Amino acid sequence: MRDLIFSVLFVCMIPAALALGASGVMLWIWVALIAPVSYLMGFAKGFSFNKVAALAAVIGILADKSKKRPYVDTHIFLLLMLLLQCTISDYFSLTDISRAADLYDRITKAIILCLIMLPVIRDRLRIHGVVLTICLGMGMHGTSEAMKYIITAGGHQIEPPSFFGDNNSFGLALLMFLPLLAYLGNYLAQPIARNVARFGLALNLIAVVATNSRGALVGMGAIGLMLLAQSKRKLHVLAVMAVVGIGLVFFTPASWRERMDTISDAQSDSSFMGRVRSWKMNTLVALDRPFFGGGFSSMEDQRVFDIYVNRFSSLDFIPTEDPAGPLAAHSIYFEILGDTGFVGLGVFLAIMATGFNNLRVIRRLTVNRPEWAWATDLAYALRLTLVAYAVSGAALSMAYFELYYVFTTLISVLRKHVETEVNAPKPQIRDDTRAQAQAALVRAMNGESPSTRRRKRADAMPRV
Amino acid sequence: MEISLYVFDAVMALLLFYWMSKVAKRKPGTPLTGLFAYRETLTSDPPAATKNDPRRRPLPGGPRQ
Repeated sequence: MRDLIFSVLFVCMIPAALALGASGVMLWIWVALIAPVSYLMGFAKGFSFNKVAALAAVIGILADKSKKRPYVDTHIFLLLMLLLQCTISDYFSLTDISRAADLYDRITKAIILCLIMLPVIRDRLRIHGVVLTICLGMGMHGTSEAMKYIITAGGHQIEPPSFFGDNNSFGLALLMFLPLLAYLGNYLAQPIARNVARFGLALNLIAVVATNSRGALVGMGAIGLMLLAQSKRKLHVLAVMAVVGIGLVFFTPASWRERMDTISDAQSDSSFMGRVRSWKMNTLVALDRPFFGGGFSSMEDQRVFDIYVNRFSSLDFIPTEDPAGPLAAHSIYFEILGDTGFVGLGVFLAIMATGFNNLRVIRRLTVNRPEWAWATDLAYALRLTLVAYAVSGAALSMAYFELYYVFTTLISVLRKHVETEVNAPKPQIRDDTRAQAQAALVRAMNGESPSTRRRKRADAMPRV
Repeated sequence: MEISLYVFDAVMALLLFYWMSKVAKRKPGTPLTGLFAYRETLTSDPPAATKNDPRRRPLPGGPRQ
């Protein structure tokens, strides 16, 4: 039944996507985030909704007469460089496991999605639409899990859709879109819509806690600190942080608190030390192949693992036990380092730095301009998102997460929009208009009113 | 519960896409309306009555001593 309902609704979405390029892009983003495969169980389970949405988006963009000329800025250039580097690394890959092909497919689709955003997502309305779409796509997962968590009084074990990976990755994905929900909670025009966004924010915050992810908790702390640093109403932020803190202490199960306590004792935590071993293995691959890396997920291949495990002692300056078998990267930085080498890591870091720089430029251009306050606030929200990804991602394998690339491209698009509009030349006053205005000003200063002028003109007329 | 949320989300997405297709083609200057509309600014001008409130006007001859 759910397959039928979803399929009918999806088919109804296609005309909207064909009618407007921006709607097509939004449909693609929504389908990518909603992960229908994880929820459908019948005839539609094997259907590729993503491909149909992508096709509709492309046709919609081609037919859209309001589309603008795509641009290439530093961010777009770096995205293209990353795609090139990933292609080269995949070509020279040491492994042929199926996950490698999946990851290459994933990053390629993410970058293509980012590129097709450029001609159609170029003004506030469409940027707002993309933000709404992301919140709708992600919000469903978080709201569903939070409600189960509340109903079971903390007993529910989250099983995220396979698209997100494990609970840690899911926690970070939820954390990344929470600032956007807060933004919508302020900027939606309808009070009911604002309240839904705020309610969704509270539920998704609970869902982040419900993931039992220590990385997500660290990211939440980083967001809190950043919020405190950038907010003008620090007392309000402190009050909210206090409420969340009290909620975490008094309303979470003991098992959750015990797990979070291990954050402070990383040296003796086997999970963390397993991550360190994995980071060392990925570093070894990159040192051996600095330009190409080992290829996607190469360290998860037993054959590649066997090659490099013999050199493990060369990085003994951080004492760890020898790894027992193939490992996932468990860090966005070491994942991209091991997969694509130092060149790929450089490009990846440059994309992140460009994102932060673009946000700085947006704030500089829009500060003290009430009509651009929305852009300032959206830039703040997106900065929190990037901080969450940069901090929590340090311990998670999410280097190829689509949402991150969509966010950085949204930042680029926002900067382009702000630059274009703020720096747009003011309408020029024509010379004759200016001369008339100056003459009117002189007459007004002489105390000559328009009616006086008319009377004088009538008196000067020859009488018949 | 999960399927209800899923369907609700899909219906909202459907409405959003059609709303976007409609409002993107509105005439310039037409105000944005609808469930998904955004506020232009967070701060709104105070109502005229407040602006013209006699209690807010400066006293003639300056403040009383």
